[in-house]
Amino acid sequence: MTSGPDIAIAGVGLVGVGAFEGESVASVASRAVGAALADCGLARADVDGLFPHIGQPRGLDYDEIARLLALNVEVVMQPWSHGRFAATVLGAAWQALRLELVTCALCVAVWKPGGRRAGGASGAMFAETLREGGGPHAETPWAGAVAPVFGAALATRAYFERHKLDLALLGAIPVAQRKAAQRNPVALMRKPMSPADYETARFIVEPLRLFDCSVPAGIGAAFLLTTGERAAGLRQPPVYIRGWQGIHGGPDEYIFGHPGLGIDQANVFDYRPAGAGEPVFGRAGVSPADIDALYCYDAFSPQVLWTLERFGYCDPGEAAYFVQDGRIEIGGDLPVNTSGGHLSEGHSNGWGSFAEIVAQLRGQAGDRQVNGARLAQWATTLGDSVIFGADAA
Amino acid sequence: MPTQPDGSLSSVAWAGDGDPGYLLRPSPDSERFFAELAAGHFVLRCCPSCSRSRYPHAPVCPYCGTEGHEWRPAPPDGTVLSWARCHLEFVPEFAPLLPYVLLDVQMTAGVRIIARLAPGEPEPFTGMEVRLAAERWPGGAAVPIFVAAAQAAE
Repeated sequence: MTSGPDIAIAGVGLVGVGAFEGESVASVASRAVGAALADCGLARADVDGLFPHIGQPRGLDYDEIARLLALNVEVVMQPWSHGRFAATVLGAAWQALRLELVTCALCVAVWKPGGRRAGGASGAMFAETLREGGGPHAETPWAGAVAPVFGAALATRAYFERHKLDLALLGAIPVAQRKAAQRNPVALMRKPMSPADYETARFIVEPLRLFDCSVPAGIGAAFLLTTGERAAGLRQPPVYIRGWQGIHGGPDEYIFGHPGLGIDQANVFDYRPAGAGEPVFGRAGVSPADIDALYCYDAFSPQVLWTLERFGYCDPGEAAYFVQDGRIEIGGDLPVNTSGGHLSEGHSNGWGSFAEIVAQLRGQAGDRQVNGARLAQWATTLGDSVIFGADAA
Repeated sequence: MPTQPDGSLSSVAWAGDGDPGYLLRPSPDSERFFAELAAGHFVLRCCPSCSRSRYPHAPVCPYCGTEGHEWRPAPPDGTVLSWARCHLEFVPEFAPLLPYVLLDVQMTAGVRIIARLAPGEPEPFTGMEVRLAAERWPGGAAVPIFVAAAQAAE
């Protein structure tokens, strides 16, 4: 890894995943930040960097957070209010700490649900859907394709047909994640889900069914990061950020599918994953085989397949078989999304998984605990990733 | 219906509710595309250097990086790369069309276009030959829609 101090997550406050009806978003943020400070023993006055994710209208912008929560910060980074920037926000905090621009960074992931509909909360008049060049998931409002689920459905069919796979294989993912969610008191969807429940669920946009789509949600979470050295003297075991890589953009990139599948305008090519050659592994000094649990952005269940294939856990077309027979469940070869993920815990834009990773690597995940978990990876179909470790590099 | 004798696109009548015109917001880059479509023509921005067509209507050629463009007529033919069928009402104007089919089509012009399959067309499949048409909305706007090429040739 490049030079600079080891950086760790020192404190986490997760006050819920859900709608927070009757409570202001500022109040939720206050509770989350208070819980993170109490978790590790840092004080409000220690915070000098602020890294909020989703701002208005669902969440709070950085200036409101500072003003309403009595913070006084000198470095701020707030991205476009889109779910994909979870690792980008965490990475910005990590970078500011590595460069010693700040000494204690606060990431705020607090917002209300964007909608109640399966398939993507955005809706026809969402600014992102109406972008000049089309939406980021190939939304095409004049064609009635006004939510991310349309582009996800196109990619899902292309993927299963390209690799001559049975679509029924997809059901193993929501079923596995629901099993995990049943052990997670924070999860919104904890009712048992059988393979038959999955197969008989209604289509949202065919071939994607209700349970292939994430559960719309808000979240109240805050994360405090500091140097590993400082974190080690606080109340909780540090969870180190061992490696990071950013979102990719360009002619080979489309959010759904493995690279080369070629939905929307993305290039078609024969994709072979770089595996341990992905920079995040080199920066962390590990390979995919070392990872104890994998977490991914699962707005739609097939994204688990495409993440496994993007990061070299499987070759293209193989992940649909890999996820069968309990292999991605807690206790399986590679547990995936052990909190239930967006499909069952609720669509927290990744931050529910970050909280879960911290709990797992601290050994505090209760009956969800992955035995001996020392390394966990966050990875998405956009190419960004974070590797977290219970040990410093 | 084939392409009209004068080379213009065939038309498909709007079969949904009301006028979904608010869903079409042409930008300075795309207004020519939609205006030509309303006049029955399929045109794309092409690179003045490498001649390749692009979609969406970007200011720079995605293949060679040359700035600028020329609008040129393009063949309306394509092949279905993937398709999806919407079963949930997302937009009230589209409710009578449910379940409607969305296609991702590889056009012979090189670009891909995502648009609906017209109501009453045969069951879609990957590899299906389709032809771009103009769906005419009550407010006067027209948007791309696909019809089966086999049916179009009858």
